[in-house]
Amino acid sequence: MKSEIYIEGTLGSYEEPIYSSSGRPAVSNEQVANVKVVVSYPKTGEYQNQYLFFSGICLMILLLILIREKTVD
Amino acid sequence: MKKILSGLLVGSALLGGAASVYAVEENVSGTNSASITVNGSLGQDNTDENGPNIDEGADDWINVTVDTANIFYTTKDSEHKTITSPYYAITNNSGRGVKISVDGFTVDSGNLDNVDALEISGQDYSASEKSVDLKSFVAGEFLVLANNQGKLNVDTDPSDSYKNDTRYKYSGTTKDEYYKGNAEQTKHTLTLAFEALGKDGASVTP
Repeated sequence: MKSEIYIEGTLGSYEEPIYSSSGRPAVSNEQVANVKVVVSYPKTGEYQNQYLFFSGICLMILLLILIREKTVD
Repeated sequence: MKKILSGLLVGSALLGGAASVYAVEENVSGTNSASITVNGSLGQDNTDENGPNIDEGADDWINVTVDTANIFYTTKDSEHKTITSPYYAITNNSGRGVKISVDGFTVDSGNLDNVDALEISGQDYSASEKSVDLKSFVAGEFLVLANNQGKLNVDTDPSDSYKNDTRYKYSGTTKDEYYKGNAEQTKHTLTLAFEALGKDGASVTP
Protein backbone atom coordinates (compact mmCIF):
# COMPACT_ATOMS: atom_id res chain seq x y z
CA MET A 1 0.00 0.00 0.00
CA LYS A 2 1.37 3.42 -0.94
CA SER A 3 0.83 6.99 0.13
CA GLU A 4 2.14 10.22 -1.34
CA ILE A 5 3.54 13.16 0.59
CA TYR A 6 3.71 16.53 -1.13
CA ILE A 7 6.77 18.54 -0.21
CA GLU A 8 7.55 22.20 -0.84
CA GLY A 9 11.15 23.35 -0.62
CA THR A 10 12.17 26.95 0.02
CA LEU A 11 15.80 27.43 -0.90
CA GLY A 12 17.67 30.70 -0.66
CA SER A 13 16.88 34.20 0.46
CA TYR A 14 13.17 33.88 0.99
CA GLU A 15 12.08 34.44 4.56
CA GLU A 16 12.22 31.26 6.60
CA PRO A 17 8.75 29.74 6.87
CA ILE A 18 7.26 30.07 10.33
CA TYR A 19 5.48 26.93 11.44
CA SER A 20 3.33 26.01 14.35
CA SER A 21 3.99 23.05 16.68
CA SER A 22 1.74 20.89 14.50
CA GLY A 23 4.35 21.22 11.77
CA ARG A 24 2.23 23.16 9.33
CA PRO A 25 3.20 26.60 8.04
CA ALA A 26 1.51 29.36 9.99
CA VAL A 27 -0.63 32.06 8.40
CA SER A 28 1.59 34.77 6.98
CA ASN A 29 0.09 37.57 9.04
CA GLU A 30 1.22 35.80 12.19
CA GLN A 31 4.83 35.90 11.13
CA VAL A 32 7.14 37.78 13.42
CA ALA A 33 10.56 36.80 12.24
CA ASN A 34 14.05 38.19 12.29
CA VAL A 35 13.09 41.16 14.46
CA LYS A 36 15.72 42.19 16.98
CA VAL A 37 14.87 44.84 19.59
CA VAL A 38 17.96 46.64 20.81
CA VAL A 39 17.89 48.97 23.83
CA SER A 40 20.99 51.13 24.38
CA TYR A 41 22.04 54.35 26.10
CA PRO A 42 24.23 57.15 24.67
CA LYS A 43 27.88 56.49 25.28
CA THR A 44 30.41 59.13 26.35
CA GLY A 45 31.49 61.36 23.47
CA GLU A 46 28.94 59.97 21.04
CA TYR A 47 25.92 61.78 19.67
CA GLN A 48 25.76 64.30 22.52
CA ASN A 49 26.02 67.50 20.45
CA GLN A 50 22.29 68.13 20.51
CA TYR A 51 22.17 67.85 24.33
CA LEU A 52 25.14 70.24 24.72
CA PHE A 53 23.54 72.72 22.32
CA PHE A 54 20.19 72.62 24.11
CA SER A 55 21.70 73.00 27.60
CA GLY A 56 23.86 75.92 26.33
CA ILE A 57 20.79 77.78 25.09
CA CYS A 58 19.01 77.14 28.40
CA LEU A 59 22.01 78.55 30.32
CA MET A 60 22.14 81.65 28.11
CA ILE A 61 18.40 82.30 28.62
CA LEU A 62 18.83 81.90 32.39
CA LEU A 63 21.78 84.33 32.43
CA LEU A 64 19.83 86.87 30.33
CA ILE A 65 16.88 86.68 32.74
CA LEU A 66 19.20 87.17 35.76
CA ILE A 67 21.03 90.14 34.16
CA ARG A 68 17.73 91.74 33.20
CA GLU A 69 16.37 91.35 36.75
CA LYS A 70 19.57 92.95 38.16
CA THR A 71 19.35 95.95 35.82
CA VAL A 72 15.68 96.46 36.74
CA ASP A 73 16.62 96.55 40.44
CA MET B 1 -19.86 -18.29 58.62
CA LYS B 2 -16.67 -17.81 56.62
CA LYS B 3 -16.48 -21.54 55.99
CA ILE B 4 -20.06 -21.63 54.70
CA LEU B 5 -19.44 -18.68 52.34
CA SER B 6 -16.18 -20.09 50.95
CA GLY B 7 -17.86 -23.47 50.53
CA LEU B 8 -20.69 -21.88 48.58
CA LEU B 9 -18.19 -20.02 46.38
CA VAL B 10 -16.15 -23.13 45.58
CA GLY B 11 -19.30 -25.13 44.98
CA SER B 12 -20.80 -22.61 42.58
CA ALA B 13 -17.50 -22.34 40.68
CA LEU B 14 -17.32 -26.10 40.29
CA LEU B 15 -20.95 -26.33 39.21
CA GLY B 16 -20.50 -23.45 36.68
CA GLY B 17 -17.39 -25.09 35.25
CA ALA B 18 -19.15 -28.43 34.97
CA ALA B 19 -22.12 -26.76 33.27
CA SER B 20 -19.88 -24.98 30.74
CA VAL B 21 -17.98 -28.19 29.99
CA TYR B 22 -21.26 -30.00 29.63
CA ALA B 23 -22.46 -27.33 27.15
CA VAL B 24 -19.59 -28.06 24.72
CA GLU B 25 -20.87 -31.53 23.92
CA GLU B 26 -24.42 -32.74 23.93
CA ASN B 27 -25.50 -36.28 23.36
CA VAL B 28 -28.52 -36.13 21.04
CA SER B 29 -30.49 -39.26 21.68
CA GLY B 30 -34.22 -39.89 21.52
CA THR B 31 -34.95 -36.38 20.26
CA ASN B 32 -35.16 -34.81 16.81
CA SER B 33 -33.60 -31.39 17.57
CA ALA B 34 -30.52 -29.85 19.18
CA SER B 35 -29.34 -26.29 19.89
CA ILE B 36 -25.90 -25.09 18.85
CA THR B 37 -24.36 -21.87 20.12
CA VAL B 38 -22.61 -20.00 17.30
CA ASN B 39 -20.14 -17.14 17.82
CA GLY B 40 -19.88 -14.98 14.69
CA SER B 41 -17.03 -12.65 13.67
CA LEU B 42 -18.36 -10.12 11.22
CA GLY B 43 -16.26 -7.42 9.63
CA GLN B 44 -12.64 -6.69 10.48
CA ASP B 45 -10.91 -4.47 13.00
CA ASN B 46 -7.28 -3.91 12.08
CA THR B 47 -6.58 -2.13 15.37
CA ASP B 48 -7.23 -5.33 17.35
CA GLU B 49 -4.06 -7.43 17.39
CA ASN B 50 -6.17 -10.55 17.96
CA GLY B 51 -8.76 -9.52 15.40
CA PRO B 52 -9.88 -12.36 13.15
CA ASN B 53 -10.73 -12.23 9.43
CA ILE B 54 -7.54 -10.52 8.25
CA ASP B 55 -4.81 -12.57 6.62
CA GLU B 56 -1.29 -12.10 7.95
CA GLY B 57 0.61 -9.60 5.80
CA ALA B 58 -2.54 -8.34 4.08
CA ASP B 59 -2.87 -4.64 3.26
CA ASP B 60 -6.04 -4.66 5.35
CA TRP B 61 -3.79 -4.54 8.41
CA ILE B 62 -2.33 -1.18 7.37
CA ASN B 63 -3.61 1.71 9.45
CA VAL B 64 -1.05 4.51 9.56
CA THR B 65 -1.47 8.24 10.17
CA VAL B 66 1.01 10.41 8.27
CA ASP B 67 1.26 14.12 7.42
CA THR B 68 0.82 14.45 3.68
CA ALA B 69 2.06 18.03 3.22
CA ASN B 70 5.62 18.76 4.27
CA ILE B 71 8.07 21.59 3.77
CA PHE B 72 11.83 22.09 3.98
CA TYR B 73 13.80 25.31 3.80
CA THR B 74 17.25 26.83 4.15
CA THR B 75 18.06 28.73 7.33
CA LYS B 76 19.02 32.38 7.45
CA ASP B 77 21.48 31.72 10.30
CA SER B 78 23.52 29.39 8.07
CA GLU B 79 23.37 31.92 5.20
CA HIS B 80 21.11 29.43 3.42
CA LYS B 81 23.72 26.63 3.48
CA THR B 82 21.74 24.34 5.79
CA ILE B 83 18.43 22.73 4.87
CA THR B 84 16.05 21.86 7.67
CA SER B 85 12.33 21.32 8.26
CA PRO B 86 9.76 21.01 11.01
CA TYR B 87 9.26 17.56 12.54
CA TYR B 88 6.41 15.51 11.10
CA ALA B 89 4.70 12.53 12.70
CA ILE B 90 3.95 8.98 11.57
CA THR B 91 1.75 6.83 13.82
CA ASN B 92 0.97 3.16 13.35
CA ASN B 93 -2.60 2.51 14.54
CA SER B 94 -2.62 -1.10 13.36
CA GLY B 95 -2.66 -4.29 15.39
CA ARG B 96 0.44 -5.36 13.44
CA GLY B 97 3.88 -3.82 13.04
CA VAL B 98 4.46 -1.93 9.82
CA LYS B 99 7.50 -1.47 7.58
CA ILE B 100 7.68 1.91 5.85
CA SER B 101 9.82 2.27 2.75
CA VAL B 102 10.53 5.25 0.53
CA ASP B 103 9.32 4.11 -2.85
CA GLY B 104 9.75 7.26 -4.90
CA PHE B 105 10.94 10.85 -4.80
CA THR B 106 10.29 13.20 -7.68
CA VAL B 107 11.11 16.83 -8.37
CA ASP B 108 7.82 18.20 -9.70
CA SER B 109 8.99 21.79 -10.13
CA GLY B 110 12.29 23.59 -9.66
CA ASN B 111 15.51 21.62 -9.29
CA LEU B 112 18.00 20.42 -6.74
CA ASP B 113 21.07 21.20 -8.86
CA ASN B 114 22.50 23.46 -6.19
CA VAL B 115 21.70 21.13 -3.33
CA ASP B 116 24.61 19.00 -2.10
CA ALA B 117 22.65 16.72 0.21
CA LEU B 118 19.03 16.13 1.12
CA GLU B 119 17.75 13.33 3.31
CA ILE B 120 14.73 12.29 5.30
CA SER B 121 15.46 10.89 8.75
CA GLY B 122 13.63 9.58 11.79
CA GLN B 123 13.78 7.07 14.61
CA ASP B 124 12.33 3.60 14.17
CA TYR B 125 10.65 1.28 16.70
CA SER B 126 13.86 0.79 18.69
CA ALA B 127 14.76 4.52 18.68
CA SER B 128 17.65 3.96 16.26
CA GLU B 129 18.18 6.68 13.68
CA LYS B 130 17.26 5.82 10.10
CA SER B 131 17.56 7.92 6.98
CA VAL B 132 17.08 7.80 3.23
CA ASP B 133 19.15 9.89 0.82
CA LEU B 134 16.77 11.91 -1.35
CA LYS B 135 19.46 13.69 -3.42
CA SER B 136 20.88 10.56 -5.04
CA PHE B 137 17.65 8.73 -4.46
CA VAL B 138 17.54 4.95 -4.22
CA ALA B 139 14.27 3.38 -3.07
CA GLY B 140 14.60 1.43 0.16
CA GLU B 141 13.46 0.72 3.69
CA PHE B 142 13.00 3.74 5.92
CA LEU B 143 11.40 2.76 9.22
CA VAL B 144 9.73 -0.10 11.08
CA LEU B 145 7.10 0.77 13.70
CA ALA B 146 5.58 -1.51 16.33
CA ASN B 147 1.83 -2.11 16.55
CA ASN B 148 -0.57 0.08 18.51
CA GLN B 149 0.26 -1.87 21.70
CA GLY B 150 3.99 -1.26 21.28
CA LYS B 151 4.70 -4.84 20.19
CA LEU B 152 6.47 -6.25 17.16
CA ASN B 153 5.90 -9.88 18.02
CA VAL B 154 2.28 -9.88 19.10
CA ASP B 155 2.58 -13.19 20.99
CA THR B 156 5.82 -12.69 22.90
CA ASP B 157 6.58 -8.96 23.26
CA PRO B 158 5.20 -7.22 26.37
CA SER B 159 3.07 -4.13 25.74
CA ASP B 160 4.95 -0.85 25.14
CA SER B 161 8.21 -2.63 24.35
CA TYR B 162 8.70 -0.52 21.24
CA LYS B 163 7.50 2.70 19.63
CA ASN B 164 4.48 2.77 17.36
CA ASP B 165 5.01 6.41 16.37
CA THR B 166 7.92 8.54 15.32
CA ARG B 167 8.87 11.98 14.08
CA TYR B 168 10.83 12.59 10.91
CA LYS B 169 12.38 15.61 9.28
CA TYR B 170 14.32 16.71 6.21
CA SER B 171 17.90 17.95 6.37
CA GLY B 172 20.75 18.70 4.02
CA THR B 173 23.16 21.28 2.68
CA THR B 174 23.32 23.54 -0.36
CA LYS B 175 26.23 24.16 -2.72
CA ASP B 176 28.81 26.84 -1.93
CA GLU B 177 27.13 30.18 -1.40
CA TYR B 178 24.64 29.88 -4.26
CA TYR B 179 21.52 30.46 -2.20
CA LYS B 180 23.04 33.43 -0.37
CA GLY B 181 22.09 35.49 -3.40
CA ASN B 182 19.45 33.32 -5.06
CA ALA B 183 16.05 32.09 -4.07
CA GLU B 184 14.13 29.14 -5.46
CA GLN B 185 11.08 27.17 -4.54
CA THR B 186 10.75 23.50 -5.38
CA LYS B 187 7.93 20.99 -5.28
CA HIS B 188 8.32 17.26 -4.75
CA THR B 189 6.32 14.10 -4.30
CA LEU B 190 7.58 11.51 -1.83
CA THR B 191 5.94 8.12 -2.13
CA LEU B 192 5.91 5.93 0.96
CA ALA B 193 5.16 2.21 0.73
CA PHE B 194 3.66 0.40 3.72
CA GLU B 195 4.00 -3.30 4.45
CA ALA B 196 2.10 -4.99 7.27
CA LEU B 197 4.36 -7.32 9.24
CA GLY B 198 3.22 -10.72 10.42
CA LYS B 199 2.15 -11.64 13.94
CA ASP B 200 5.78 -12.53 14.73
CA GLY B 201 7.05 -9.10 13.60
CA ALA B 202 8.70 -10.44 10.46
CA SER B 203 7.81 -9.84 6.84
CA VAL B 204 5.19 -12.24 5.52
CA THR B 205 6.32 -14.06 2.42
CA PRO B 206 3.52 -14.31 -0.13
